Amino acid sequence: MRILRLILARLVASAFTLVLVSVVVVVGVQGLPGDAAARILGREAPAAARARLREELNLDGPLVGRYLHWAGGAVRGDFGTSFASRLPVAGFLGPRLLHTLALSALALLFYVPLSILPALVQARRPDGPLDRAITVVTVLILSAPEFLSATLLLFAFAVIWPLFPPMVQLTAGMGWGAYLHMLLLPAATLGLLLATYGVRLLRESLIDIHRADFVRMAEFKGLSDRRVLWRHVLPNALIPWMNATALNIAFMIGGVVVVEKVFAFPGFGSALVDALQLRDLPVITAGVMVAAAIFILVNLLADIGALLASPRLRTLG
Amino acid sequence: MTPALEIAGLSIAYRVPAGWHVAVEEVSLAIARGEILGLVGESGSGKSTLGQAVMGHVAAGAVASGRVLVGGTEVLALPRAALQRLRGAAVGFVSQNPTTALNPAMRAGAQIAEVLRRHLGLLPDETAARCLELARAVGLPDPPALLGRYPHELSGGQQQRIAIAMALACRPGLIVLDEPTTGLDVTVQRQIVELLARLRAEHGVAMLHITHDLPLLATLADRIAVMQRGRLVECGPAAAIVRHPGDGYTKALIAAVPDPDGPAPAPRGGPALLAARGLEVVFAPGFLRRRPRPAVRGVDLELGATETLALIGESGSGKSTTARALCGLVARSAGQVLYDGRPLAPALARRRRADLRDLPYVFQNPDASLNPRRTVAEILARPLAVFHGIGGAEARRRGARALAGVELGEEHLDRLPAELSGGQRQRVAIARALLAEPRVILCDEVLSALDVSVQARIIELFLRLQGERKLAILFISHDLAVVRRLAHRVAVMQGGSLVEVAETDEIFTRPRHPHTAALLAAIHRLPKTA
Repeated sequence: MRILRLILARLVASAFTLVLVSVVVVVGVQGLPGDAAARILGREAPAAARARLREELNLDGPLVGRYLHWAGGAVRGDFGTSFASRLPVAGFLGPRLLHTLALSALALLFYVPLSILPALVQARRPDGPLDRAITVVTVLILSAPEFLSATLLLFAFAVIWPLFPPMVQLTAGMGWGAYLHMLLLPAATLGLLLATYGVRLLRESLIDIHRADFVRMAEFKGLSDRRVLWRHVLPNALIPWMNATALNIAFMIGGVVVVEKVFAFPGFGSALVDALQLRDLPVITAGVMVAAAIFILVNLLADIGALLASPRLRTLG
Repeated sequence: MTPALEIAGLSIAYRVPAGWHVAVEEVSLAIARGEILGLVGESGSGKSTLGQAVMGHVAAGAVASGRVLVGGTEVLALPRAALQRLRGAAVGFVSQNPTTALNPAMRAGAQIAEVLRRHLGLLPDETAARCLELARAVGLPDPPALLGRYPHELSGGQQQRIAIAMALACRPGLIVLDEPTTGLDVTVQRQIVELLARLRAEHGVAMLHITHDLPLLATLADRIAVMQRGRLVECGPAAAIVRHPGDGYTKALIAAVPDPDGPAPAPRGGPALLAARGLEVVFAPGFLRRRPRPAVRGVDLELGATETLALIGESGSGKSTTARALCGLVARSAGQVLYDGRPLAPALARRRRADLRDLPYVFQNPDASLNPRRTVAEILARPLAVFHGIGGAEARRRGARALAGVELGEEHLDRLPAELSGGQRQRVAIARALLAEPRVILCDEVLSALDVSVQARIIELFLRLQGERKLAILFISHDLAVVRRLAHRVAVMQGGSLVEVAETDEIFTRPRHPHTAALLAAIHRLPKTA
């Protein structure tokens, strides 16, 4: 089975990448400027206290030892203790990651139709009035800074037309309905903003594929226009779109900080930014590793998707 | 009985910046049921536009007038839905390049099955049975296995058989074939032509066979129609047209067809200028893959300083790879390349500039080898500046002279490649190679995209250059008639190895290897004029 072997090869490569990334991240984070002990104790703390803390946090040991120590914990799900909150990192980041995953999943529900449908409409009549109108809108959204578009949407749907709460407040024991209601506006914003990339890309590849010989051939076989589109054009045009979508998903989960900040969403991205400001090394390390792992995983899925959609890739390898 | 196809007063014009370009002008012709009409003409003659009009297709921005009746139905005026019911059912289409005409993401069988489902509404098991039957009818080996494959897992000949099966699926009364054998190997070409003749005999399907290959039509078609600049200049029984052409253009067309039985240039002796010893090329194996078979192995080749050596063989036999390894475009994995008696480095980057100048490569596809953002003058100035330090007005003068050599006017100097036809681009690529004043040029199927009249002039140019100054040519081609006209010696490749090397007349009259004989048997000949 050639395809299984190819997937296996991708899996091995992904695992290898992840290990490599962990080395770079752990070593790199230690090399961040600024003294974590000084951050925690304050600038006026006596040198002796700082040194004691540094020793306690194992900040001065040899790098190899510190990496192995970290990796040993990580494989058991123990990412150390946050310097700032003194809580286990996993327990601190875990819920935020879940919120972000829920937000991303919801955003994806907006992203898929919002990126495919306009492109389909555009490719029906390239350079027609509808195509031009959609191009103008997508380019506008693309070129506006994210915080501006997000704030405008917040203003429209939470202030002028108060369908949604202006701030996301997640409380323990809140019902699924209320949770969904809280997430809906940020998710729609995120889905819409990212969909614009997908629209631009898919429009181009749809128009390209429409010109392909095999599409002309499908028409000359007398197939209905609908079948030509769904069976011949779309599957081939979606291949580059799938790769872009994978990057978009990774981007969403990695934390679109701007959107999280606008909606005061307690997500993964803003947690990471806070940790960076506090030089909270264990949280930074774990956060970057999780983001990297998600990035690798999503790309792996996109590669496998492309392999399934494009038989030619299987032999070209 | 209504004819399979009737075209009356068909004109098709495109809107261009300067007004209207008339691609097809007042063409009238008819094809009887079960008849094969060959439509021949050079590129730009409007023959493909005509073929697509028979499918009821007129490009966006074009205007058609006149009538096209397929089995009595006027297709140009047909509403879209009715047209889609007619296409595939009453008239089938086979296009030039089977590799791009099949959907890469669909199995071959599914692409045949969808036509059957669409037009005949067959049940799944009936569809499957009919697909197998069709696959057998078009001569595919092991139909159950081949129908389950994706197009890229099939050979070019198998792909074209699938495309023919698709066109034939609903037993249409007419099939339009647009250059169906142009991209295929000669032996495969021969098989496809035999298949078409058999299908006509067995199913009585009429065919409109569009091609620029006159010898092929002479063997296959009942009648031949000749198009020139959108007009039908002559139409009549195939044998009569070929033997006694009435129109001046048809005469010129026939005269330009190279004769596979004509005399080859007299062989030339002399020491080898370029030689390969035990040449081997292995492409790098991929991740988790075993070491692949070498693309070229154990090739020993010698090319004299004023000699043309033709390299022939089927696609995938290693012809291009051999030439690329000689030139350094592909690094060899073993063996030696000797130039002027001294060894050349495997890779281009490690060769001396003079060696690069002496050994240019002309690619099969000029679209990929000419920079689309440079004008012809800039393209031609490159080798002059790099190898001879010539620039400015002198470079332009020499560029114009080189263009004249390939039968292109000075006005082409300021055009971009996109503003030239495919044949013109190929001629620019040849002119560029010659401007370096090389001692050897490596030509990879450089004439196959050209019309016969242009092809004949380029052949004369090569022969003249070899007479004027020392020039060795390694000429890769699948057109054996051209090979006979041009080459002093012929090397035959199969599966990455050389199977036979001999003087041209020797190869054509007394082939020693069975593969050479098979290649020669596939040649179509024009009947000799009485």
